[in-house]
Amino acid sequence: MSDIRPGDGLTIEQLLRALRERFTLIQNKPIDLTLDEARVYEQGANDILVRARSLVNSLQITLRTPPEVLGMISSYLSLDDLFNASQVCHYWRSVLISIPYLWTRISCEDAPSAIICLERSKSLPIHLQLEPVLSNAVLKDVLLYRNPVASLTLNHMLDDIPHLYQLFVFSSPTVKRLKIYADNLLRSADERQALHEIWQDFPSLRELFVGHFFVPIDRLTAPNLVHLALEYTGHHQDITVQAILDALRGCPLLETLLLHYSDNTESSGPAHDHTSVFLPHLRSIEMGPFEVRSGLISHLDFPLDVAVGFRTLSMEDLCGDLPLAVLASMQHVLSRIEIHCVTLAAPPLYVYPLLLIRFEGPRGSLEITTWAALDRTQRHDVLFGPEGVLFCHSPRIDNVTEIHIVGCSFHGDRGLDHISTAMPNLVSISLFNCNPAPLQLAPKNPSSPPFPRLERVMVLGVESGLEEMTRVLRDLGVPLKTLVVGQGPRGSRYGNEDLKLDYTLLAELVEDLRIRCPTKILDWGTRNEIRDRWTTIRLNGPLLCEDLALAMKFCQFDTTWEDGTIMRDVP
Amino acid sequence: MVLLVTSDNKNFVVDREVADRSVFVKNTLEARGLSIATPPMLNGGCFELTSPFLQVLEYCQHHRGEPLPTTDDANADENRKRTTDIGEWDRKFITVDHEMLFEIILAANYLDIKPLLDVGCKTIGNMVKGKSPEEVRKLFDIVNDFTPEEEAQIKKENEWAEDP
Repeated sequence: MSDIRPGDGLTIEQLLRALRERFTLIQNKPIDLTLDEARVYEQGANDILVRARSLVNSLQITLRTPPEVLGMISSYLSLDDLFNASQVCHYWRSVLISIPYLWTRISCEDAPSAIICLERSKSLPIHLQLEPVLSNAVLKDVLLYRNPVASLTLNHMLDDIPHLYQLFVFSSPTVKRLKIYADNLLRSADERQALHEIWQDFPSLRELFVGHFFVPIDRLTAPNLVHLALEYTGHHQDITVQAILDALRGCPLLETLLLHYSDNTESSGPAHDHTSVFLPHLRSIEMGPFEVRSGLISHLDFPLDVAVGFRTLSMEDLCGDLPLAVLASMQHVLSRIEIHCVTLAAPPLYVYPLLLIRFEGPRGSLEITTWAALDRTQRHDVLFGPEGVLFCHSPRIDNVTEIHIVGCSFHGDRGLDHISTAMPNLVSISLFNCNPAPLQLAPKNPSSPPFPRLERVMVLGVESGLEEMTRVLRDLGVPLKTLVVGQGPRGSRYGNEDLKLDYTLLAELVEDLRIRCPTKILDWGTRNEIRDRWTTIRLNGPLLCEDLALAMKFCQFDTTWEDGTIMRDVP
Repeated sequence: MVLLVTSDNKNFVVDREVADRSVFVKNTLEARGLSIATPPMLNGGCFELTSPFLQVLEYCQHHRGEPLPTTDDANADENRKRTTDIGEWDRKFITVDHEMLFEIILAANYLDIKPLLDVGCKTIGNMVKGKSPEEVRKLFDIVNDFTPEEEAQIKKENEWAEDP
């Protein structure tokens, strides 16, 4: 039997014929066989069966897929799915386990799987994901196999600082992407001091995202950093503006920068003699209220077409007698950037959880979000009124062509008058959860169109008044080219009862009507990866820093978010 | 205009902008200075090209004029792998039977149309997600052809996953 095993160059037909002859002989004289000999026959038959099954598979187009394509397909699979795919058939298995880059994702969920991955990844740089907790067993394996670490994501428990130190020392020369967060805020001085020591030089680091984790910014040495986002990283330390500026000065390649809630940053008005930092490649900058109030941003210099976001500002930051540092920050930014797109966002009314809508232009955009609902005239005046920060400090405000307004109610006679006066060149207006929105774009008995260049309108939320608005605009000689309407996102109070319009009538009034245009919404703090674990306690947290970086990479007309989603006006 | 001839001798006249979505065709035309490209036989001639090629043409016509992905941007490639989202038009376009889906992927791979290849691979990837090996076999009509040795190895590999 052993002389007719598969793999000896025999054809299937020859093997089957030989096997059949042998079985005929055996059946005639079974008593002459020993058990071991019978098992050899069984083995041979199994081998033939395996070959026959492979033959069947080889005729399937699924298995004619070239290895490189099968590898590409598998690159979209999670580690669990990859393991499953490698157990489908002989061909898939042989291909998948021979592609080292597929196995470079190391998870701490199960140490044995980490070993398999490390073995199959050969010596390629690995992507280490140590969540939900840093696994000492996995860490030990990683240190044993000594693959360079390309990216590191971890949720750090405070009782394991020595291992964290070990990991940072090991990965610091090669890591390009570091994302770290903690479930608990640090409290003791000893813990902070211990964490202080873990920060190393990161000569290869391109992306650094930190949330709820102490970062001694004065120790940050990462000259090749391109994306930096620090959220809730101050931890009641006395962080000075100068320390942050010095750190940023060491990152001349920065393209996106998010600093949010570096608490206790010292207040410093424009009189403070800080040396400005020029970031020539900056495309996006986002600052939280503490950074605005400290005057930090007024010491940053950047290209004119940067996208600026002021996050979660208060009423006091936006109107009236502004504190000197806030005034300096606003003047510094608004007087220099060339804005073509403005987003003004308040938490939408009656919406829980809070939603953040981000309208991202490719360049030169300004976004201001507030904590307070802008549901009263005196409140939305802080944004839209002539005394508001936007109109007071933006000398080129009339260049704006797009505006997106979120969560504002327009009551009273003034409506959008201030906006139409300040921004007469608006081409596109988006209104999300604004009430009552559409009619404000076409007030009763107007002598001239409020927005003479208006071409596109998007209304998400209440649709009442849409038909009248489009009819009035047409009669005024500025017919809409594009109208996008859609229901509010999940969590919105607006339901189907608000969608009773006769869209056929609407379609006759505009060139291009898009109903329920696929809009993607990023839930604020509820769906993003880094905050999943805090959903119940921090629903209204800031925008996920990683999303920011990705969005800026992808943004052209659309802004694409990795794991949640985003919306965007139609181009 | 460009004349494209498939391996089964069907002729297609398309705009140069559409043809250039295929890096293979683009390079072939540029190298030869010709207005005709003849994609050779695929997989030793057992591949019926016309049917998927019609699909591929439809894709190229829809996406004509869009910027082609650069091949030297490692970071963009890394980001591409982080998302399995597929645009609405692409999703509808790629909603075909399994055999056609794989044929489109093979054609995209051969003709070097990376965005289409991505869409196809993501679609297959999304189909495989969350499925056990047996479910994947059933999905694609694949027979379990593992040798006993491989079965033993897989069993050993799975021991950690089966532990409570």
